[in-house]
Order: sequence, then structure tokens, then C-alpha cells
Amino acid sequence: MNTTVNIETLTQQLETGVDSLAKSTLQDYLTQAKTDGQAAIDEMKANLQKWTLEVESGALTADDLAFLIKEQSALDEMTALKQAGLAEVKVDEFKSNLVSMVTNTIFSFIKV
Amino acid sequence: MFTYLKRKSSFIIISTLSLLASCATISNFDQYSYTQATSLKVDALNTMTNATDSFSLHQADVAQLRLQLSKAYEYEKNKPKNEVTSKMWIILIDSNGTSLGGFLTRWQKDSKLDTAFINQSKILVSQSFDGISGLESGKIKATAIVN
Repeated sequence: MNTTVNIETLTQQLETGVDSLAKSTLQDYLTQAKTDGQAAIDEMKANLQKWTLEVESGALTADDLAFLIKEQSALDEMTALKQAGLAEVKVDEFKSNLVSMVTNTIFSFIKV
Repeated sequence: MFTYLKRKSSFIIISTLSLLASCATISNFDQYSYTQATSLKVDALNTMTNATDSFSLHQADVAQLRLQLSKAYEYEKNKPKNEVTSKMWIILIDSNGTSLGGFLTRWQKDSKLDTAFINQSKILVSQSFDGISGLESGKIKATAIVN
């Protein structure tokens, strides 16, 4: 019975697996977070321009504008919290998938 | 003997990783939380639309909305590993803040609000609710848990 395990190959396969897992789980999230962040900035800019024009036209008062700017700030804080929460979800997914990947790799090397 | 050691090592590695994975950092998806957020969004936006009327005409509706929002926050606050969602609810409903809670306070104080302001504020409140439900729907579903 062959009882030897090629530790080098096993380690290499685990490293490749971790690398691939990190890319698929976390890199996609980073790209999405950047896109969402840029969209939030663009929207904030557009809102400020629109509100300023509405103050000039008399549709909004100075008090309305002050409130809306603070409301936008509250929304930005919530968007940041959402992204932080989604990052935690991705970390949990990564940890969970890591266990499966390591378990499967080890069992593919060792017949139990 | 060697086979025994291999099995023992594998068991230790897998057990350690399983323990690591079981320590989730954030709560799983909760259908009730998601339903509450989407349902209260509709109620809140409908109530905000009435802010062109005198506050006294809708005092009971606002009180009911505030009660439902408080219940939703209380539910989220007491759920384990749910700090992020709880913080989002605090920002949304704080009566001294500048999101939905602050809007209702301003309506109460000023008695009536202008349509242009209401419409802009509704957009931001709508996005705030979307943020909460978006985070909830992004959480891991219990059926998707591997270990």
C-alpha cells in the first residue's frame, strides 16, 4: 500500500486553491464596491447641483437645502455601512469555501 | 503508523478550519428582516407624501409608522452579529437625525413641508431603505452554508 504523500504537491495545490478562491470571492467584491462607491459620488454631485438650482429658482429654501445636504451625508454613511456589511459577508463566504477547498484537496491526496 | 499520523494531521487541520469558518462575522439572511425593510419603505414613502398637509391631520399615521420603525429596529438590535444593520436603522429612524426620523420631526415642527423638498427627501429615504434591504439580501442564505 502506498502511504506516502507528496507534501510539496499538496502545498502547491492548496496555495493555488487559496489564490483562486480569494480572487473569485474577494476580487469581484472589490470591483463591485469601487463601482458602487463611484456611483454614490456621482449621484451626490448631481444632487448637489440639482438642489442648488432649486434653491435659486425658489423651489427649495435654504433650510431645505441644509437638511438635504445632511440627509445625503446620512445616506452616504449608510452606503458605507452596507459595503462594510457586504465585505463581512464575503469574508464569511471565503472562510466557508476555504474549509471545503482544503478538505477536498487533502482527501484527494489521502485515501481515508 | 504513518497513515494514522496522516489522518490525525488531516483531522486537526480540517477541525481548525471548520472552527474558523463557524465563527461567522455577520448574521445570515433573514426573510423577516428583508420583508420588514421593504414593507416599511412603502409605508414611510406614503406617509412622507402627505407632508404637504398639516401634521395634525396625519399625526396618528406618523405615530403608527414610528412604532413600526421602532419595532423593526428593536428586532435588528437584538439579533446576534447584526451590528452593521442595527447602525443603519439607527441612522434611518433617529428623530434627532437627518434621515426619515429627522424628516418626521421637521414635519411635526413646521406643520407642513413643500413638495419639492418632500420629493427630494423621499429619494434619499428610499435609497436608505434600499441600503438596508440590499445588505440583507446580500447575506448568506442558511441553505447556502457549506459546513
